[in-house]
Amino acid sequence: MSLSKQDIEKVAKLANLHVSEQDIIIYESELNKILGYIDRLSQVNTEGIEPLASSLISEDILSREDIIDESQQINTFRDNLSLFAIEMEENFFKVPKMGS
Amino acid sequence: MNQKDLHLKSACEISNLVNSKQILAVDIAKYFLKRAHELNPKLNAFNSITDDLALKQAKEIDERIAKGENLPLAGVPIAVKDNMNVIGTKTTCSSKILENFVSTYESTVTQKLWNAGAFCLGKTNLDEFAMGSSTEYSAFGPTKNPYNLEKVPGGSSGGSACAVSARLAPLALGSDTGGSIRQPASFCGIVGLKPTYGLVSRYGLVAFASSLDQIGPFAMNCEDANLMLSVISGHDSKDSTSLNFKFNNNKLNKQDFKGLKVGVIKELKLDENNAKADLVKNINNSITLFKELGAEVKEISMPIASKHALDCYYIIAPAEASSNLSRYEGARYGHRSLKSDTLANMFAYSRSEGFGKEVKRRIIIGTYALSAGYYDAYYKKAQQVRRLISEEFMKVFEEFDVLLTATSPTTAFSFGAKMNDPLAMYLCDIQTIPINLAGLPAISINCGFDDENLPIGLELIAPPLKDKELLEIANCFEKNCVAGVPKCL
Repeated sequence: MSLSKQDIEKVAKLANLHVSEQDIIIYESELNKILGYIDRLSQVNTEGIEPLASSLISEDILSREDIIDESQQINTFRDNLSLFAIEMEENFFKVPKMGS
Repeated sequence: MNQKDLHLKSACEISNLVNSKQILAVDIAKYFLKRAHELNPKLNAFNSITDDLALKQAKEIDERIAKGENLPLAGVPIAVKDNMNVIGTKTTCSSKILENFVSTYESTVTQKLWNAGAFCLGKTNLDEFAMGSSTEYSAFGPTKNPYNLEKVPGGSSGGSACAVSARLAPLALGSDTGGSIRQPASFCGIVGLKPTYGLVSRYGLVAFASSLDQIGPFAMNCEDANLMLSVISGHDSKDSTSLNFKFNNNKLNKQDFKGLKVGVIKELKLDENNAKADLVKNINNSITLFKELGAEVKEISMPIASKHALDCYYIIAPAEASSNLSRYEGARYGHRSLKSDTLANMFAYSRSEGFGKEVKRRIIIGTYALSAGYYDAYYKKAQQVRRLISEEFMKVFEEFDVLLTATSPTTAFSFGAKMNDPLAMYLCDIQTIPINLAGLPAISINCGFDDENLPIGLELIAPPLKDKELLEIANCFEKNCVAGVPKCL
């Protein structure tokens, strides 16, 4: 499989990245070289193989009970907004208008 | 006591000196801060040196010692990779997008280190968001290799590896998603351990590829790595993938390799056709040493792990990264573009200006692999191959206790050598990537030097949760290997 200029534009949009005409030309050659290598995957017979999503040796721990532990609650995010927020008003993040 | 050459002391030695009140933690902090400020302009190992925090923590350590406490890491300076949150410090991930971000909470690993009596010396440079193998993808300039300032230190945890190698700190924290601890440890001639996935909490580590990321130690020797792992491992309810396993924190004492079965992965074995002669010679000498110490060494074939791990990784890691990095949009924290006239432009321009080229490359690959129509061909296929790789390892471990490879197909390369060829950079990690896909513990230790006096790393791989056994084997090798003492900057 290979990526065309239109594909790159579409994927960049999905990824919320602005790419210039010049970027697209560079990406087209770089990414196709990488994808060409990655396509070796198709040589492996994976019929009937269950996908593996994690390296965890025991997936049991992922199905633990959801118990609220008050002592583990962190409010630092809310309490420290002013330390890192780009722009805020009262206790809210301020962003530009939605439309153009 | 004489404070000269404190930087040559191991973490174990420093801790003994502080616990026995022969030296104050505050004096150690002043010594290492001075050294870091002197050498950092030359090496660029640190993004920030945390003077105030180090002195404050050191003072508290001295108070605890004065009250009679005995601390496993008393007065030990730690260099922390700049993708782990330490409250009140900048956590930049060496990215422009987080250049001014200040952590408002503490990582579990660092909290455990401070509880054990260690203090934070500074935050170390990395390839942006831990994506890279040379530290050249840092937005704040590359870190230098202490053995040769014209060479890369490896990556992505290049700053941490450099800091320990140059004796700026006896211990450092790194993170390893595809080799980011082991490869720089190899290039810088030190010990680097990637623990079993889930053994060390990832809470507070900025996520790159969550199913592969693991935090681990850099140290001057195996005993120090053992000490650090005994402090940072253990279950953490704040990390849902954290295992309930108690790491045995005894000192290391294995004396020989009698009865040990060592497998050499045939397809990853370096020879004169694909690697430098001195590298091949050193790895072969290491194999001979294993035999001399009583091990039974055999070649084994792992066709899928050796041939397809890289293809598999470069789907899975970018896919997870594209999802994890979607949180940086310029709305709440980090960089916001001046071109933010609308919300959509704010997202697109903030991300494009804030991320460097390798990060953007991987976000695009990952988004593509997850997009409609390609998911089955790429992401699902990669996950199926991942299972085959994992099963291949488990099968081999029915016969062998440990596997042996070179950590990297090369020693440290020159700056710029691979910057214009992303695929060549990816191929640096061909010996380390299979291990992350299977969640195994693996260590890199120095086994010699090439004709340019650059360190060579030996990689040892163990079954899941055999981290202690792995350290025992590496330590026994270290004690018997006559690689020579790595020279200090």
